[in-house]
Amino acid sequence: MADARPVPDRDLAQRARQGDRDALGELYRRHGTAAYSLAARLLGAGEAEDVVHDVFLALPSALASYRERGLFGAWLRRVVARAALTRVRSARRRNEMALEGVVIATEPSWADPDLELAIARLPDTLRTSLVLHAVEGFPHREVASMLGISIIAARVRYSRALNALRRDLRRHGT
Amino acid sequence: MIPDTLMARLAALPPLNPPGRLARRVQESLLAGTHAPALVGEPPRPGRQRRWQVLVAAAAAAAVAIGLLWPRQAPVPLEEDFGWLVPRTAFAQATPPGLPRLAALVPGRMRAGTWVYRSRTHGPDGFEVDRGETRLTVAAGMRHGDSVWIMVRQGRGRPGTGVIRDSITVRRATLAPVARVRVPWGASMLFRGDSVVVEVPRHGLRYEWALPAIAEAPYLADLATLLPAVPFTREFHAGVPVLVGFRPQGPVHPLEMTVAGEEAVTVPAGTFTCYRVQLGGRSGGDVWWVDMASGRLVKSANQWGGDMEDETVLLEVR
Repeated sequence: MADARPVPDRDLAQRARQGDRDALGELYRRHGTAAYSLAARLLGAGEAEDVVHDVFLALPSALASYRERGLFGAWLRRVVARAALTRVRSARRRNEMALEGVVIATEPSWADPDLELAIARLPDTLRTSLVLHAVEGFPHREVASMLGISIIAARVRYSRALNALRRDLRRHGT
Repeated sequence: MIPDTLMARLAALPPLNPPGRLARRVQESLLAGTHAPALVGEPPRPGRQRRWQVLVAAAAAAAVAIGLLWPRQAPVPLEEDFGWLVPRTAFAQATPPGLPRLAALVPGRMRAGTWVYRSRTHGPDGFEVDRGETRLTVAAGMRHGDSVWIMVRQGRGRPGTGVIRDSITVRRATLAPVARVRVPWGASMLFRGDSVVVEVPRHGLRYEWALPAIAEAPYLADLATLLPAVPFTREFHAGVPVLVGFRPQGPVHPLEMTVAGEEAVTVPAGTFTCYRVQLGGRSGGDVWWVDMASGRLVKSANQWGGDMEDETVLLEVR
């Protein structure tokens, strides 16, 4: 009788490290949604697809830094977050991220469209802090590390993001 | 509340589903062996916040450097050696909880005279440091029409501190302090009822500090010189708040004085029948032997560091 237990992420990661496409496909099936969700809330849908695509393609080499001590999913989310934030910074330098005032179409998968829209309308410095901490659950210390700022600054940004979000929701009557 | 609602809404946000085309795109790229770009091509650049931190740190470092290099007025440890008999300088404030307040001093018990003491620190294996002689002189005098006691302490302080000479002037009627002068630093303290003016002309320093309510209790630092006025009895048990350090605003610790018995104590000046006064609280471990007849200190001992002891004995009465 075949063993029905799912292959652990750790084993898939080991195989993916050697370029096993099936293993990569399985990892995408398991963690693609979480990766895309994080990237989409940081960057928007279009950019998020590019980030997730690039992350999974680069996974065999990126897995060299995966120490297998923690959960693979948590490690992958950190990789995605850093990749997405790199794009945010690049876009900021090119002044491309002017989400404020941009009309954003609702996505069919949004369970709370008002809140998702309000998050998307936040300035990117506030949005990243809010998404990483409040939605994705990264501790402030890790958010600070990802953003290259102090822990205090991360907390301040998060607090400002909450206030801005609250104001935005009030303004839009939600 | 809005914050709770908002937080709950944020926490409850479900993951966003990727479009189906993304899976196909990834699969096609994997099959095609598409070259993958570097994931995190650049480390986080120091943002504005980081730059501010660098600027603030640089400014702080510059301020520290200026502070270190700028010609400064030397700190004046005014009370450094004042605790030769009493280990802590003190200003009497409120009564420590649970302790009876030190009863009013008896000014009429004060007498003029000179007492010479020798102090040493000793420990195991023959360790001994001679801390020299200290002479305490009490003389009657007049100041601005007031009858006063002028109490002068002369001697050598702790190793390296040189010769000490202090004078304390108190009113004979109340034993309230009027002035204090410390010679090595030229420091003077003039008492003005509820405040004290401290001047150290040599360093251009002048402070005026509000004094806590002294009432009839003495400064504890002066207590050693005022010991004859303390009404010790066999059942004596009193509390005096001790101000650690010099400033009246400093931390206060209760000092408990208890007469623990009577002993005959032999010192170079002779044999005296003494009250053994145990000090508790912050100065726990100190013991004074006070001559029952004159009220003068005959001997004091303070154990510290486990097996080290400071000892002061009366050498001579003049």
